[in-house]
Amino acid sequence: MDYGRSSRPVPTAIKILVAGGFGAGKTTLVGAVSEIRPLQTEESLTAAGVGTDDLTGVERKSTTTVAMDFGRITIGQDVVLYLFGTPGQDRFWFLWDELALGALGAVVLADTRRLADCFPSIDYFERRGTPFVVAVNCFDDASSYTEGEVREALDLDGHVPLLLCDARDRESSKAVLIGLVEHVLALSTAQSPS
Amino acid sequence: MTTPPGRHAAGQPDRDRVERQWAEQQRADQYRASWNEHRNEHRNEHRDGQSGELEPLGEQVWPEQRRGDLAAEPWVDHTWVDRDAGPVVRPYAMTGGRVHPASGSFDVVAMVVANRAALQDLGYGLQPEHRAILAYAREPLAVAELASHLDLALGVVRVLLGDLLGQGLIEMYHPPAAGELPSESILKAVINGLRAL
Repeated sequence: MDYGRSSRPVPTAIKILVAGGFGAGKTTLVGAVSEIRPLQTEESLTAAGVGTDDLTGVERKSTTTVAMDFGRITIGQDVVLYLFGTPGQDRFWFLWDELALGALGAVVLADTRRLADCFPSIDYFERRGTPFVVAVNCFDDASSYTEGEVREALDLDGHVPLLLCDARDRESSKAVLIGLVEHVLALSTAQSPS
Repeated sequence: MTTPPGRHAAGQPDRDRVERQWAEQQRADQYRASWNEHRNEHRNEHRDGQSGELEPLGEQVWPEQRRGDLAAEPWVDHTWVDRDAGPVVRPYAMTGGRVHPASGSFDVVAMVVANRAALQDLGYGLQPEHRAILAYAREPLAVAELASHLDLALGVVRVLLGDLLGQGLIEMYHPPAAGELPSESILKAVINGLRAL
């Protein structure tokens, strides 16, 4: 039974995850490249959350994403990219599995002031076999490290791309996404040389 | 990371704590009782025409406490969820308590489109939320976007979508299955599309 549908063809949806520690800039990156204002379910960080969230180094952040937020990028008529910021706190990991299912890949945002915060994300994607790139969000007051130093600290596999970015900057964030899709493309051609 | 004492502490409820909470509750009940007594006296005074403003009848107001302050309600022993977790049960009232869709499975980026049956209003027993979904889904829309527009939890939207799918009012377009990468040409199109943004 084929009911008539609206004139617009139904695009293929592609899901990309943006992960990283609390305050690493996930929402910022999604907002920088999304064509819509990121749709979000946010809950403000209240007295109950202080103490739960380790705020060292990110004192000025007043809210945290406890559900998820997402943005959209329409590529032509056929493809829509959805960028999902993953919940940044350990107690919301149960949402991840659902999100990661069928995802094209992930961007792990790292904050060099608190590098350890992105370890769980890297572990998670390595374990799942989800392709990912690590993007070091260069905060103004963070001391700069060389790519090699960060790579060593994260104990990254040689083939995982490491990029430097400014999550507030659209071009920079676009470059991160392009880096991810190129990485996925490289992996897929490596798997099935044709 | 520091773990705040007690919040994630698992284990048996210890006896002392239960006793303390019980005592706390007794005190609260006493306080409430004496407060009510005071109010009633006050009201009588007013009726006698002696003094005081007219206070509205009705439920007694419990002294204001900061939200999320668990210590304000020591008799509530839900360490796994506090008030700031938001409504955790009510959203599912509109699904009649159902938490699993009757039919279908819905990824967050699965596309929903209302079909001709929906446009001709052939559905039956539809709630306002069902109708709202159909209205939004005249153009293809991802499940996550629907949930966001309707300000409903994803789980609730999935149940409602299951109802609509069961009645043949919507069509679903699923994203590539897990483990199945989009074709090389799509990936290249995405890279070029991103560059051109």
